[in-house]
Amino acid sequence: MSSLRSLDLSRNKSLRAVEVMARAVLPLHKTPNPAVPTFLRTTLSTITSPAFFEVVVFYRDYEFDGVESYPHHGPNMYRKIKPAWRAMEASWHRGLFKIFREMYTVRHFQLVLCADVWGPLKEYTMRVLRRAAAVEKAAKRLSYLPSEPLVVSNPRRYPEEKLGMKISYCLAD
Amino acid sequence: MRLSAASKLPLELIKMIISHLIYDTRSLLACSLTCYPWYIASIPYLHRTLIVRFDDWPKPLRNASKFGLLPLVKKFCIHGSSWTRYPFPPKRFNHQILRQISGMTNIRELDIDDLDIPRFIPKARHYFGHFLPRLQSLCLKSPEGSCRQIIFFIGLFEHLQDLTLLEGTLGKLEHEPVDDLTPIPPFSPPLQGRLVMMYFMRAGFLESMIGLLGGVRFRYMDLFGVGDTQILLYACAETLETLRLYPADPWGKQL
Repeated sequence: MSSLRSLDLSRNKSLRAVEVMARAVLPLHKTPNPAVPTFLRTTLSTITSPAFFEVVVFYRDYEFDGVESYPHHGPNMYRKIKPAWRAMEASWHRGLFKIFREMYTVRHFQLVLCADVWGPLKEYTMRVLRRAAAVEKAAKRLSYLPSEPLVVSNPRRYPEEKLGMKISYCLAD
Repeated sequence: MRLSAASKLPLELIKMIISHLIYDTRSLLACSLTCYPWYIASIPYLHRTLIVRFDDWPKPLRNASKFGLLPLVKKFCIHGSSWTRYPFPPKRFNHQILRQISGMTNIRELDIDDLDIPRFIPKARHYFGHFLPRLQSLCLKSPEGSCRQIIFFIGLFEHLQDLTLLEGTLGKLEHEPVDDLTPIPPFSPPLQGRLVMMYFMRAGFLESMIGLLGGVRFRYMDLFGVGDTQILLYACAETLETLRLYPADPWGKQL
């Protein structure tokens, strides 16, 4: 799989938000030396819209430890979570926040963390995201943002599940 | 008989409680069994979506019609078989089924797998006319037909705002027929809402859609495995508000 050429968003004058998948910002097992992916850096740098103010990072079911979700099946979230997995997830979130900071140097934005998950997982996943943001805030690593990251949820099924697949499998990690 | 505390609540409050559960079917079902006011508040969400699979066509439709639930349906899905893929032909709509479909007076979203568009086109209004006035969202998965035929079908729905086009994981790279005599679409739908495309790789589709429908004005785009994304970005230069980005696709092309 080859990498993406960046998009030119310079003509989109009413662009308000860009949504990007968390795993696309930082693959789950690539936590040492996280850096902004080139496609994202270049695409963000082309934005000229005066209305632009939000980067929405969306997290899918399968990006949360303790959650299993398969196409055509409902979620299963009551698995016992090993402490090592929790530590790995925390480290991934730390890496992501480091990248968000770097992205902010390219283009200023309001950070929105969106749990794009099945309805019944909403509460649990939002709690995980709030906790990750709180850890960053406590360590005073969010001072660059104009306001605290917003944690929201978008409970709907993804179109790719209709195709019987998960998009993250196709991403170039 | 003594009324329970739950049934004494004003309907407005019950509706607020129920609105928090609209994605949780089990809880909705439990609420509908509590008492009559809770049943009234939860039933529109319980029957909001009607899914009929090819394998058991038209049983769920017939049952919903029998119990008078069709006016509550806002999203009608005709889903293909999980194991085999075959086109959904017009002969599936007999007179009785068409009568039942006409009972779905509040359909906002239509979601059809493997629709055999070329065979529907001669009498498209006969089959889909009931949905024309209110349909706002259309989802087609692996539709049969040329680009022009698919665009004609989209153009049937004059109030269409949202469009979802999905193709199988391998995508379709068919050559378009040179002598495609499909007429131009009857309407130019507003198409001002969401555009979701996944693996929809038909050559020239986007240019034809923009040309035949008189432009597109989507506010939200989620595109994966689609060639020539930049054309869409330029076409919606004045309207696009939110774009969902993916870093790569299996073909290594733009989005």
